[in-house]
Amino acid sequence: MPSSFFGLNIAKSGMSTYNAWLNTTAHNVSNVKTPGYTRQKVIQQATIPISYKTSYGMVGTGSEAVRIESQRDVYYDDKYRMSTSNHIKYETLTYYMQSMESYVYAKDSTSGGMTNAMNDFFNAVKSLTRSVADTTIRTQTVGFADSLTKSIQEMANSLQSMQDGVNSEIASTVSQINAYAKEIAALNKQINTLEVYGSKANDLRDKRAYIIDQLSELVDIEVTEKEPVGNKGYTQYIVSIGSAKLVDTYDAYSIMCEAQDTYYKQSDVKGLYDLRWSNGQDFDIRSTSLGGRLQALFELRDGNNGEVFSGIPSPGTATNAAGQIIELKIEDVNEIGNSIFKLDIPAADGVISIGASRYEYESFEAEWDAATEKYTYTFKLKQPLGTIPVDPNTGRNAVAKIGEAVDFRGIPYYMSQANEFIRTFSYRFNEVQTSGYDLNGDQGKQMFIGTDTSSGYAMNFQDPHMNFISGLPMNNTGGIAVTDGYITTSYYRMTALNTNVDKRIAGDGRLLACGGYKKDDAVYGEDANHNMLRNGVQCQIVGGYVADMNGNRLTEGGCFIREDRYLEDAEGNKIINGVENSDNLEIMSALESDKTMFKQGQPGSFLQVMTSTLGVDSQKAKVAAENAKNIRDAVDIRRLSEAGVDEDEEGQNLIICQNLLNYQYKVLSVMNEVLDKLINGTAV
Amino acid sequence: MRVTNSMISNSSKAHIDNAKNKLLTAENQYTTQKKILRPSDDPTIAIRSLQLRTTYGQIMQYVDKNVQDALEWMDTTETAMANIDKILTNMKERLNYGAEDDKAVDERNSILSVLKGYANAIFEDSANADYSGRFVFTGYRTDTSLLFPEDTDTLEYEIVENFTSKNIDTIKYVSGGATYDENNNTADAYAAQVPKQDSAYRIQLAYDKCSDTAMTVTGNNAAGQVISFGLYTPDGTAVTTPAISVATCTQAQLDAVDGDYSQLLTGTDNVLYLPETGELILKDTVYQAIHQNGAEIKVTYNKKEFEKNDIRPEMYFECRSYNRDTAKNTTYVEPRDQEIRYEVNFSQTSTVNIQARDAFSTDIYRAVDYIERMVNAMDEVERQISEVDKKIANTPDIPANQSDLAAYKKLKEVLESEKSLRRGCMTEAFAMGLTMVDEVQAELNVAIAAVGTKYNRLQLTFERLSDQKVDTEEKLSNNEDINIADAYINLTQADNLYQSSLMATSRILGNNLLNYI
Repeated sequence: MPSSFFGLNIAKSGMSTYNAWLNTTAHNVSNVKTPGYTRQKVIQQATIPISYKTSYGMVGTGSEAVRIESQRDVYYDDKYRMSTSNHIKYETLTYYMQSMESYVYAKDSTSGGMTNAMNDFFNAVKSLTRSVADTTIRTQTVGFADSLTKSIQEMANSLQSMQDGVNSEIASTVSQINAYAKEIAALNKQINTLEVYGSKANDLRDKRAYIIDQLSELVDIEVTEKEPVGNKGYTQYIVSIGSAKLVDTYDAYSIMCEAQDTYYKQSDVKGLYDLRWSNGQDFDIRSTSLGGRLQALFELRDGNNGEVFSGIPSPGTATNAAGQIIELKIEDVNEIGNSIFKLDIPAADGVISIGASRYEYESFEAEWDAATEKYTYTFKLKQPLGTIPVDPNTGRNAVAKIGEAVDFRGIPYYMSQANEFIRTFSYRFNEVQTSGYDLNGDQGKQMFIGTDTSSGYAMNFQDPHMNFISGLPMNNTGGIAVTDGYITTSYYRMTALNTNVDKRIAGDGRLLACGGYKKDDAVYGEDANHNMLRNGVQCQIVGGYVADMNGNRLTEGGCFIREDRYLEDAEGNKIINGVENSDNLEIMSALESDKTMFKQGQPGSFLQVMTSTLGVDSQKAKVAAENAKNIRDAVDIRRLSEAGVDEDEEGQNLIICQNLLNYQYKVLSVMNEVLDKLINGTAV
Repeated sequence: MRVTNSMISNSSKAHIDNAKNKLLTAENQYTTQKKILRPSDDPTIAIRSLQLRTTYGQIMQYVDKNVQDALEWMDTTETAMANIDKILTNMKERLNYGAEDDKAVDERNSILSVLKGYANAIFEDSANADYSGRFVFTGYRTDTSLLFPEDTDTLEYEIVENFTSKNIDTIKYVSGGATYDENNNTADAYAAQVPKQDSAYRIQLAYDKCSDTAMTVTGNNAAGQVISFGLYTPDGTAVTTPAISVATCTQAQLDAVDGDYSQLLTGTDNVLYLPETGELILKDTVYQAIHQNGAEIKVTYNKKEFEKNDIRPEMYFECRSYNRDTAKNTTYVEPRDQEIRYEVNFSQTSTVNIQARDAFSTDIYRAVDYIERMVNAMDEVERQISEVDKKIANTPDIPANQSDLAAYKKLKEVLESEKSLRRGCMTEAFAMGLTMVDEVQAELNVAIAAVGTKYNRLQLTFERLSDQKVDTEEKLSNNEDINIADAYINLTQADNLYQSSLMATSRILGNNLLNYI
C-alpha cells in the first residue's frame, strides 16, 4: 500500500514532464526562422512502477521526460552537402563564363565585339577598293583596324582582370574555409564538454551542422563522427577535404595561400596562389573531387583544356663549375612548341616539370630547324639540375612539361586563343602589307604590331620561322636593341594584351600599303634539267637578280628584275604602278575568306568556333547548375520534412501541453481535496 | 510525408524565383527584340548570327557602296567617250570638207581652227574627265591629270615608243621651189629652182618639239641618249641588217636643203630624225627590212618642254623623267593593264576603268598638226604668189623692166606649180586625217562597247546582290530577332505566372494555427 501522499508526486512528475514539453515547444516556436535549427522533441515515458506486493500488482508512478531529441537525419545532411558543393561549383562557373561570353559576343552587329570589329575592318578594306587613293577611306580603314586591336585587347584585359579577381576570390574562399574550420573545432570542444554528462548538445550540434552546410558551398567535404569506443574518451569529429583532414575534433588545420613568383602561361597575372596545408603537406588544387566554389575558381583561373607545352628534355651544352646541368634542351616538342603563334609558355619564371621534379627557368632560346620544320628549345635554369629522370616505360628521358594541364576551358585557354588569333592574323596581314607600297610609294610597314609593356617600345616582328629568344633583343652595350623607337622581335612576344596598330599608320592612312609593285610580265619556266627559263631563254639568279648566263642582269623596260620578279630601277627602288593600283589591297581583302589561315578556317570561323565553344561550355555549366540546384532543393525538402519546425504542429502542441498541465493541476487539486477531507474532515 | 511551413515557404520562394527568371528572360527578349543575349542561351543561334552578320555586312558593302560606285564611275567613263565619239564624227565632216578642192585662205584656216578646237576638246574636256576628283582615264594614276595643266619646262622625259609597219605613212613632200631673191632676180635662176615632189616613209612620234639633246641622268642610272631606233622581230630578237644609223636634223638644217630629205640621208645614214616636227624619215632599205621581218620599231627620244595640255608621257609610254627642281630621275614602265578593280561580289572584281592609251590615240593631235603644217605651207605659197602678183602689177611694162617682169612671171609660174604640188600634199593630209579618225573611232567604239558590256554585267550583279541582301536580312532576322507578337505573349504569360505565384504565396503564408490560439 503506497503512501497517502503518493498521488501528489505522480501529479508533480506529470507537471515537470509537460513543463519540459511546453518549454521545448516554446523553444521550437522561437527558432522557427533560425537557420540550421532542427526541431526538438521531448521523449517521455512512464516512470518505473513500484511494487507493493499487493494483490493488484504494481503501482504506476507517473511520467518523466527522458531526453530532448533533435530530429536530424544525417543521411540527408550528407546528400544536401554534396549537392550544394555541386550546385555552387557550377553556379560559380556559370557566373564567370557568362561574363566571358559578353566579351566575345555582341547581341547585334552594332554593339562592339571582336567579330563585329573584324567585319567592320574588312568592309572598310572592301570600301577602299572603290577608291584606293582616298585618304578619308584609308584613315577610316586604319581606324577600324585600330578598333579591331582594341576590341581584342579589351577582351584580353577583361580576361586578365577576371583572372586576377578569381585569384583573389580563391584567397578569400580559403580564409573563409579556415575560419569555418576554427569555428567547428571550437564547437567540437563545447559539444564534447557538455555531452560528457550524457545528454545531447542539440543546439550546438545544429550550429555546427549549419557551418558544415556553409563550408560545403566552398569545398566538397566529408564528415565522420566517431562515438567513443566503450563509452570512454570523447566523440571524434573529423572534417576532411579529399584525404586530408581539415578539422580533427579539437584541431583545425588551416590552408595557406602562397602567391607564386612563377607563371603557368605567358599571359597569366602575377602572383597566382598555390595552396598548402599549414602543416607543410601539399594541397592538391587540381583534384577533380575538390568540389565547391574552390574547384570552380581553380578551373577558371588555370583551365587550359589540358594543352601545355611538352617535349623530350636533354642536357644543354652549358654546365656550371660543378659540372651540373644549368641549361635544359627540349626537343621533339608538341604542337604548342612548334608554332610560334600558339606558344604560350612564360617568357621568364616558368616551371618545367619532369616527372615529379620541378625546375624554374629564367629565359629560353628557340632554334628553328628548316629541314625538319621543328623548334628546339634551350632553357636557362635557375637552379642546377642533377640528372634528368628517365621514363621506365620508354627508356627515354621523361617528358618535360611547362605549366600544368588543367582539363577545362578557363581563362588561360581563351587567352591563348586570343593570342593565337591576333598573332596569326597580324602575321598574315603584315606579310601582305610589307609586300606592297603605300600612297607615298614606299614599301609598306607592319601594321598590326605590339608594344612592349615594360620598356614601352613598339615591336616589329621577324619572320615566324626563325630562331628567337624569349626576352627582348639586346645590343652590344647590354641595352635593348632599338632602331627608331622599334624593337625587332618574334611574334611570340605579341599578345592580345599588347597588340596595337603602328602609330605611324594609325596617324596617316596613306601608309596603308594597297599598291602592288610592278612585276616582270615575262613567262618563267623550267627546262627538263630544272634550269630557270625566262621567255624560253635560260637565265639564272645572280645576287638576287635575274641575270643571263653570262651573269649580266636582265632588264625589262629599263628596270632590273629582282629574284621575286619585281622590277627595280637603277637606284634600287621597286617600281610602283601609281596611286590607284590595288593589287595588294585585293590580297588584303582576300584574307577575310582565307580558309588556310587557321585550323578552324578563315579568321571569322576562328572567332565563331571560339564563341560557340564558350557558349556550349557555359550552357553546360548553366544546365548542370540548375540540375544540382533541383537536386539540392529536393534533398532540402526531405530534410525539412523531418527537421523543420511546423507552426501548426507547435500550436497544437501548445494547446495539448496547456491542457495536460491543467489536468495535472486538476489531479493535484483532486488529491488535495481528498486529503483535506481525510485529514481535516474525517473522524475529527 | 510531414509537411512543414518552412517547406511551403521555401517552395513558394523557389516558385517566385522561377517566375521572376522567366519574366526577366521575357522582358529581355521583349525590350531587346532579340532571341538571345549570350551564346549560352542558344549556341546555334549565336553562331548562325555571327555568320549571317558577316555575310550581311559584306553584301551591304557590295550592293550599297562598291557596285553603286562602280556603276557611277562607268557612267562617267561612258559619257566622256560618247562625247569624244560625237566630236570625232564632227571632225570627219570637217576633214571631208577640207579635203575637197580649192578653198580660200580664210576658209582653210577656219576649217583648221575648228579641227584644232575639236582635237583640244577631245583631250582637254573629255579625256581629262574626273569622277569625284579622280581622273578616270589615267590608269592607276588617278591623282595625276592626263594632260599637263600648264606649260612645264622643269621636266625632261626620255620616251620609248613602239611602232609597227602599220604606223609608217608614205607621205608626199615638196622640196625645192623658188622664192623671191632680189640679188638674183632672173627668170633663169627661178627656172632652175623648179620644185619637185617626192614621197618618203615617215613615222610620226607622239610629240613634236622634241629635244635634240639627251636627258640629264643622275646617280647610277643608265646614260641617256638623244635618239635610238631599234628593230625587233615579234619574238624579240634584234634585226641587224641594215645597220641603223640615225641622223638628227634641225629645222635650220632642213631649210638649208629646201626640205629635201634625200640630201640629208647621205652615207650610211638611213633614218632621219626631225625633232622639231617629231618625225622620222626612213630609207627604203629600212622600210623593206621592217616589212620583210614584220618588225617592231622601238624608238627612244627626248622631250624637255611641254605646253599646257600636252599629254603626260607616263600615261601612254614607257619612259624616264628627270626633274630639274628636285634633280631626281624617275622610271616609268609601260602603263599597260592598269585595271582599277572594284570588289563587287564575293571574290569577284570588276574592272571599271579604260586607259586613255587604249581609247584615244595621240594620232588625233598629230594628224591635226600635220594638216596645220600643210595648210601653213599652202598659205605661204599663196602669199608669195600674191606678192609676186603685186610686184608684177606694180612694175610698169617698160623695156627696162622686161627682164624683171620675165623673172617675176617665171617665179609665179614656179610658185604656181609649187602650189599645185602643195595642194596635193594638203589634200593628202586631210585624207590621212580621215583615215586616222576612222581608225581612232573604231578603237574608241570597241572601248565603249566593252564598258557597256561590263556595265550591264554589273547591273545584273547589282540585282542579284539586292536579292541576296533581302534574303540574308530575312534569314538574319528570323534567326536572331524575336517575333514581336510571340514576345508580347511570352511577356504576358511570364507576368501572369509571376502574379499568380505572388498571390499563392500571400495566401499560403498568411495564417497558421498559432494565429488562432
